[in-house]
Amino acid sequence: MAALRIDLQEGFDSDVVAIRVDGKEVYRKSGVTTMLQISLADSVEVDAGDATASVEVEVVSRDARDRVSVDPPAFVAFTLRPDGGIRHQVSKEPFRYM
Amino acid sequence: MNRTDPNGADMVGISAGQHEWTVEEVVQMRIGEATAAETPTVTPIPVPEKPPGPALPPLPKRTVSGRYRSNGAPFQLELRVDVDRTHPLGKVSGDYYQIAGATVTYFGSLIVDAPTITVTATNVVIEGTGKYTFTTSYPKIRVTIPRAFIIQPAPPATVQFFTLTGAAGAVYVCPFVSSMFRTVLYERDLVSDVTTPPFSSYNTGSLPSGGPARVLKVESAYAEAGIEMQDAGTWDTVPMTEEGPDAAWDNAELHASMVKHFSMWKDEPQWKVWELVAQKHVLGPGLLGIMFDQQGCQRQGCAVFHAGLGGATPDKLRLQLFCYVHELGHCFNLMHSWQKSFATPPGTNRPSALSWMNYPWLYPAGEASFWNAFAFAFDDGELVHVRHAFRNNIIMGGNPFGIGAGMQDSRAFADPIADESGLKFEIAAHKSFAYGEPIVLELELKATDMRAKGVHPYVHPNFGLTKFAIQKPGGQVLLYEPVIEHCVAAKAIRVDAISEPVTDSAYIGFGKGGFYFDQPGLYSVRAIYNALDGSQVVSNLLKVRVRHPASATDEDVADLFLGEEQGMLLYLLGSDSESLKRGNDAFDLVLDKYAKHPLAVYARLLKGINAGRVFKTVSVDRKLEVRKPKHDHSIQMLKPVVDAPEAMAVDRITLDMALRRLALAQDAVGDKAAAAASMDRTRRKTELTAGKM
Repeated sequence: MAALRIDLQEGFDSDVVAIRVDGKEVYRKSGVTTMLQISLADSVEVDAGDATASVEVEVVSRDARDRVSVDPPAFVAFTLRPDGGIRHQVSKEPFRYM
Repeated sequence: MNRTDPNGADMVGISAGQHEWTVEEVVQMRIGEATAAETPTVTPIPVPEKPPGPALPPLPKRTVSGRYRSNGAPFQLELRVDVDRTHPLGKVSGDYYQIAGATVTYFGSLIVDAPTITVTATNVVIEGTGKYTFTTSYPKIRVTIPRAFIIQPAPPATVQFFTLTGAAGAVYVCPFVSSMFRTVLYERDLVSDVTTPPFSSYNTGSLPSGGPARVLKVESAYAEAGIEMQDAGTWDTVPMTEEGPDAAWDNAELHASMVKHFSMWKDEPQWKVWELVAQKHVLGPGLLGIMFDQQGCQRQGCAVFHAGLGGATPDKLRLQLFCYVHELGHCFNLMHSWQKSFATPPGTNRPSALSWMNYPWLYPAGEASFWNAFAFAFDDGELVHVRHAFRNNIIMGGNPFGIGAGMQDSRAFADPIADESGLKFEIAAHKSFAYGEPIVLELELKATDMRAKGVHPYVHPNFGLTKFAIQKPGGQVLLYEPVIEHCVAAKAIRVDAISEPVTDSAYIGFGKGGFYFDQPGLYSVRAIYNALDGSQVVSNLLKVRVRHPASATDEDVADLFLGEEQGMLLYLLGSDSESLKRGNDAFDLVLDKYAKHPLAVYARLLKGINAGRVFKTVSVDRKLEVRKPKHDHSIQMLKPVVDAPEAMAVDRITLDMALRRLALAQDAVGDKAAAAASMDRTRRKTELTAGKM
């Protein structure tokens, strides 16, 4: 089983966020807030199959969602834009924060 | 003396310490703008001709940039001059400290952003108008630093303040302290499971970069910015068991570890910082470092994680240096380059900054371009902050991360920098109060050493010698003002570490400002005791929680307590005054309709105390009317107060007072046994003397 690490990066402020991988909810939290000192709100690692996986993030508190298809192992990052939209990035290397 | 403006004219001569002025120096100070150094009005002393000899090359003059600090009282000025030496920013800044007795307290800060700098053969003169964290009538500043050769000691800087129209204000003579603008004690610890060596140094010439090749450590990186990071000594090893069974750190574990292992940690602002070298954070190997300290006095600690950083190759060493410096930058309250707008007040985002505070991988032209151009430095805006920020915006434990200039006038109740008074003033209260419940503090003043100290016993705020600040849930800070100020005769008593402390209880719920705790929420309270030697002894910071009403009854009773007249009655501990009749009626209603409610004990207390006293009124036709004590009624009211179960009891000091008043009433009706029993229950056994409670 290959790993998927999903990062919630910038723009989150006491939000309710849900993450689904291939339709199955793997994460749901309230109070999700970006820590300004690292530009990261939260991160979760899930086991995904070897096939292409669909990763969806829903910011329930703002009625915003985004979906991206990735080939595990992979690193996916979601950022909440000031206009309320969501931007994603996919990488084969971990996103770095400090 | 205007102790609220350290630049004021009444400070002239006071802060000059032991310096003895010569007439030449006085003339130098009084001569007008810019050309003062060239036109002395004194007769030069003849100098004998030099004997002939070989011509010597001219000696270079000392640079003047660095840190200077005045001595004396009531204010000291720590001055930072930034006009020459490495990467000068052309600024002057400073911090003021108030000296009161044996206590030193931070007062405020200044910065002169764009001063005029005049350099002559004899002086460097820096002039401009400052920005201050306090109000001053003397905002203009002139800094005069004599030129000296490098073989001579660094001369002091003389700082004079002026009004906008040129009237002279305070003068500070500030001896030179250091070529560094600030000094921070830097302690590092290492977790036992870190698998790679902690960072030591990196040669910036190992890989392409934007600046000169040199060997950099964390300390030297900051030294290039003008900040001295003083290594606190050897590394301690933090056991890996503190990171929990998941073998990864979360922020709470990091904070707990800091409190345990950072030998210099205190919950107060200090120029001290801790950096932990650890293996991994719960947020995964992508997290290379974090400034985790965002509780209490923040920004005192940070951590770096070698799961992502570790290694000995040049790129790894480069990244380690970058991350170690970057996290400490957050402790200095620096935000990321692309997030300056999140600061309070907001700054300008600089995503293209070649700075320690950027992420190389977010650089617009790409990570490789960043490293090729990076000179291992802060950008100019960040240099202004680390060298010249107002103290509370930068000091570790100062303002929270991201919060800028702290302009609120709460500095008077800040922790002192130093307290050699030998006294400790503590305030305490119930853990929480019901909405409407009288807020009563227990006050205790004691000596901290065996040598006896003379103190005055007037710790109650009514006497004006102890001040109380209350921060409301919304952040507003108010000074408690008693309704009536009591003038007292001078009195001193001796206390030492083994004698009884001076104690009292104070109702601070109502004063000249009305009700101070008029909404549910979390309040902070702090007090300053003004000692006989001038020391200002700052108390602990007390958190007071006012609970939300839990029922309609709670709300009704709170409404009956929170009227202006009721507040006055609580302050006076009862009164017969007709002008407070509605307040008395409200407390009567509490006793009638809500007799079993916990707050009814306070209605009984003030009714019982008032009934037991002689009450004099002057009628409209100017006749003195004396109401005699109603001892039976006093006993009837006070007995349930002193016998109340602990959950509904008043504080200990108020209980003692109630017992003594009850004993007086019992004695007055002839029940000597009951009076003696009441007195026996008090903590401090005194003679039962009528009217002497």
